[in-house]
Amino acid sequence: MRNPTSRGRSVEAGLVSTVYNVLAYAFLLAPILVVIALSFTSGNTLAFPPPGLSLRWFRYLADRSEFISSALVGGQIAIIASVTAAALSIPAALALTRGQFRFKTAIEGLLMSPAILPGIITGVALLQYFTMIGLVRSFPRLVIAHVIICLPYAMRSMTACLRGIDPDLEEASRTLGASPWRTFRRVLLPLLKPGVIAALIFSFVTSFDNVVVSIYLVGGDTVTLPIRIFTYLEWQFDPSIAAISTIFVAVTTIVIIVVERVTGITAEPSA
Amino acid sequence: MKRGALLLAAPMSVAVVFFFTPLLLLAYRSLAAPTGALTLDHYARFFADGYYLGGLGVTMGTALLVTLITLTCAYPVALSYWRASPRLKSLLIVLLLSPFYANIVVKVFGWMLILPSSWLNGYLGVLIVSVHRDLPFMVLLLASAMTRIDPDWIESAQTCGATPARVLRTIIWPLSIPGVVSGSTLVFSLTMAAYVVPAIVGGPWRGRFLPVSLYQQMTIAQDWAFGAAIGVILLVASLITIAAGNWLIKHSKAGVLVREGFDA
Amino acid sequence: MAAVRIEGLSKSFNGHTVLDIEALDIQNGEFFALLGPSGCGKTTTLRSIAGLAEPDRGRIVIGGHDVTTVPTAARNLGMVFQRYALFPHLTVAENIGYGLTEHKVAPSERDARVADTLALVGLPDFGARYPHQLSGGEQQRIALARAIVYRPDVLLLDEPLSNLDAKLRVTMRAELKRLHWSLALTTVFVTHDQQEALALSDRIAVMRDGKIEQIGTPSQIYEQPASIYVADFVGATNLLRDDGGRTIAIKPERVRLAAASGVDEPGVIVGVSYLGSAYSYLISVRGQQIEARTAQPVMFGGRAATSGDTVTVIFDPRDARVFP
Repeated sequence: MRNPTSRGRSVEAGLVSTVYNVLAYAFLLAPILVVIALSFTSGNTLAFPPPGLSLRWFRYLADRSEFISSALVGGQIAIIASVTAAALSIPAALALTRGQFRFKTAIEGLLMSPAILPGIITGVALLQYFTMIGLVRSFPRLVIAHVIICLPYAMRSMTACLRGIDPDLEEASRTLGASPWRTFRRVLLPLLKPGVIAALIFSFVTSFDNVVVSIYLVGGDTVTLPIRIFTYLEWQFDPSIAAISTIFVAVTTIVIIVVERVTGITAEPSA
Repeated sequence: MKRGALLLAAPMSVAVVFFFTPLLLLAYRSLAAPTGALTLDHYARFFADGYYLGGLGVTMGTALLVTLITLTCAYPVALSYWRASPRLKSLLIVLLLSPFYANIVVKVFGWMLILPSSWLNGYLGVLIVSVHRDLPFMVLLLASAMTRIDPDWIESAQTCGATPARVLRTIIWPLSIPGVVSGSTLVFSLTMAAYVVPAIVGGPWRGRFLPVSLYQQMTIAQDWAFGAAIGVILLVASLITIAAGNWLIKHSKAGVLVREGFDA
Repeated sequence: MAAVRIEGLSKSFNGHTVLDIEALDIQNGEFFALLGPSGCGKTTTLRSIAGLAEPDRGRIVIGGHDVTTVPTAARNLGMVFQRYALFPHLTVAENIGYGLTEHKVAPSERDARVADTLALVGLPDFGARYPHQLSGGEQQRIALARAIVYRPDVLLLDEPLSNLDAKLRVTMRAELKRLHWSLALTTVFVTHDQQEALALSDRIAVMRDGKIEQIGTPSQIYEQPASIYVADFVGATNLLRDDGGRTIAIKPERVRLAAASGVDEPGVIVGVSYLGSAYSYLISVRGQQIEARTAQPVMFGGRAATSGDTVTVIFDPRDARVFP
């Protein structure tokens, strides 16, 4: 479809529009840029503008073991949760795109609902539940909770990928005599790679970034990185918070870019 | 068993055991008296207490206010994005996807460094940071709805003599309503259920926001039954909003776009 | 109604010239066709008249006023788009009445005008319907109604019939002609279908690669093509090379066949096709192929001519056009 043009609008209207948009995008970026800028400050406080530039606060982070451990814990949880969610999403997506049975839309809605429900509800419900069934340790609590909230995103990537794969390919395999398992392994699985990668990455980011659900389930040493930052924001902060935040943003950005590349380059699932 | 249904066994079991059961438990807990009998006491307590009822009002009122402000700010941005060349679009989309690569706590932190502390710890801080959080979602949903507007309709209106203002008012705006509704529904739900922003920058207002109130009940007051009731009330309010939103879209004039999949 | 004048219109895209018209005059009240294959620049020309495409250079004059810098909305045009572009969220009546606001028609008069125009296009009771409830032909007529309701200076039609099936197209052709005759609107019509152009227009401009190859009445374009391109594009034409390397164009229906008799190089029929309304014979003669069309089958001694028969190919030199 063609792009609509701006023909017919006066020069003044065009100017106002440009100014407004610049301001809007500046508004969007301002807090992030300020944090990144101040992470390089050579001063002792978060006063803006910074007196000079330095990497001292990044070096200081190495001494702040709680940030490193939070990042590691969060990373472990995210890896386990995203692999589990991706694994669960494969049969789910297969059933929803290739299967024929009643209530398909209802079931799909149910499986996607953790993404629609407010995180605080999920967090509270799981807190009560885990206590009731006697699951006390934070690590498994967080893993299970993250599997639940990642599953919708994993499923979305997987069904999108599956819908792009020509069902005739599987039918051809079956007419050639291959069993359903062999068809899956030899025909579908290779073509599902982009979907699996997308599912893994969206799940990882969702898990690593999560705050509201996790905040009910963290405890002791098991505190994920965003929640660690959150706690510091409530009490005291120095530029090291800015440094860890910058690293946080950088890592997430790189991951997102990788998704773009991977799902872009391997873009033709149907042979 | 029908074809493929067996495949759902694993994911559904996980969802049932670790999602639906906890939710049902939550609902049950909200209705449970200390003796174990069913009661509506917790709900009665909520609605009878001016503090909590007021909290519901503040939470919903703020959600409404944030939605209106975000919509007003986002609409022109979405319009410009829709009209932008493909090259400009690929640059702008990077900026608009910021929620996905900058965590909410980082953004709140950034605002804490920018805003004067008088603004910060209070209602104004909540407003500003909430609008900031929700703006990308609103722009993206609006722009997505705008792509269903065929440029031919705009050119046709121009050949009929319509000024740019009239085109906006009579063609673009009505046909963008599905996006307005879906964006507003999302932003409203997000803001209703938001915890991080009121918790950090809310100042004296923090406890008035139900998500924070809920957290306090669960962790400080340890009144889990009452907390469950608050949770259910929030959930119901969200679901009603979403249902109302969907109904509005279907019954708007532009609903014909969505219903019939009409491409003139 | 008004006359349209185009002067020095040119447009390039990525270094490639898409439009280069030195001058084009469309008379007041004329039904004028821009004819050519895709990419010849006809739609760009139409859109330039409308103000929807901005040329690099040139002037557009409508009714004596230079409208080159005037925005589309102020040019008092009516335009029918290829896919009709009816506003999906408005009723038929609201669609048609859309342009009446800016064209200073009194509110009291608007309903009457819309009703009259609906009747004019033959859909009097359709006012309350929505575009998605209409068939293709009905949508086309509503699009037309919307464009003419405020009596524009010029009516622009961008391949309005190309989305219709064959039978509907013929019906709508007659409709367009009738409307043009009763409204006397200056009409500029873009098409790639030469039959349509020939049937509807007062004059045709045949375009190629952004330039106008020839302007003329339908019979001029058909009978006296100014170039091989026009001869080939408009109607089936035989293009033959003579000994001097020149090209001779002759229409198949002007070619007759007779029994081969005493001619040095007789032709041989290599194919016979029944076209319903005519018979087409493909003849190989002197190393070239020529097509002859006749209303009745050619008979030789009581037997219908068929492949393999030898024949003489005859035509009147005055019916042929020679191109150096």
